[in-house]
Amino acid sequence: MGTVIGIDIRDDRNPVELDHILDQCFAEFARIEDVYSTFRPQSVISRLGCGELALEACDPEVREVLARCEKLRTDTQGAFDHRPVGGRVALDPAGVVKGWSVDTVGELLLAADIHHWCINAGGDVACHGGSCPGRPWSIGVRHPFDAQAVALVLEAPALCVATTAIYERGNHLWGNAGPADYVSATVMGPELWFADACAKVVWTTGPHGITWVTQHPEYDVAVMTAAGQLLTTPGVSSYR
Amino acid sequence: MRRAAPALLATVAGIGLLSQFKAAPEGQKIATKRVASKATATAKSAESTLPVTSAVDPNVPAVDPTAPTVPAPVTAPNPGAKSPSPTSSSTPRAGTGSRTFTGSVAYNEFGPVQVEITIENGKLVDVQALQYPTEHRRSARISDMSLPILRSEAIAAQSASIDTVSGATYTSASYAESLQSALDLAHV
Repeated sequence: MGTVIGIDIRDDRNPVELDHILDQCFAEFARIEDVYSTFRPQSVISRLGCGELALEACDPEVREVLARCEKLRTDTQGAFDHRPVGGRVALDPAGVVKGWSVDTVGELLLAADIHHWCINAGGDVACHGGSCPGRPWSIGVRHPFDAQAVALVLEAPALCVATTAIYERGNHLWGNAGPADYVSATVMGPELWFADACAKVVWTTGPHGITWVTQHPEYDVAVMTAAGQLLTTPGVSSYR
Repeated sequence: MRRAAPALLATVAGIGLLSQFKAAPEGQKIATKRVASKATATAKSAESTLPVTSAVDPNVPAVDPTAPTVPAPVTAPNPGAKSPSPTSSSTPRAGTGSRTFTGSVAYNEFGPVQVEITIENGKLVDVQALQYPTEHRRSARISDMSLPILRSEAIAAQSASIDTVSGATYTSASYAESLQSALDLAHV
């Protein structure tokens, strides 16, 4: 998926067992990439996109992922669009798949009786349980103006956090600026696929996007403006 | 064990990134570290109780006419904002013992960076970037402030106990430099 995925497990298990579980997790990420990558011509999504394969012929999982994309596209009036006109490919569900793959692997961990874990997929985070007994996970949201600083610290026993931002890297600004005056947009909630999609929607539609996200009571938003002001929806304070 | 290799590699890579975040290279981020050590105890749970306003103060112009327009700091319009050197001033805000301190202007390849901090009862409660270069020289708008759901929050101080970070990797020292000069002024 062109990104580094780290899985941090804190359950007390023997190392051989943990190796085996981590194997299963990364095998699942690899499987998902095989099916959904738009960079692989033989992937299910690539063949669907070019009309080689019919949706009806796909397994229920693929149809479920595409149904989520379609619902997002409708709900956001096209701010999220997995069928971008003039896009690199005709069908690109990557905006949902990355977060959904982490959610899926999280369920795999729970099914393996692992309850204290944190997955970081290229800056998008899902965590469950705690970092040690009695301590919730502590998730920093990177300060867009300083790589060594955090703008916000969120603590929760189970939370997913996705951030879209524009950063300075070397001599370049990294990322695409959105139309709103935000340098960073973070959305948190119970599922990463939705938090990630919401962060992109907030990034591209600004206050309208925030209003839309707040229609989902389990999700909250924190944005930083170009003037360095951190603005949050009220629910964010429950994680601080 | 063969199949374990990519899994472990990816895990190690992830942990490597986290370690890098936690332990900044010696000498490179001294300012940041000093900020961390000074501010951790006081500012982490501090929340801004300042009223949110969408008024733009016309008395706070951008320093450089070619630089992006900078809105008035929302918490404390400060005449010292255009000064290139660190300044401090008592704010006119009623009912609080808060003071604002303006950091010196630090430069990076994109332009000047300058921050203003607000200290309330010895605690760092707010950090505002008075100047910050933006990619498209968009004029900074604060119309978003009128969105009733949003409220202003204090920036978190650096915390040593963070388990993971949401965001991506990049580097900037100028922000920390200006922030440090403001903190030095405030004797926090």
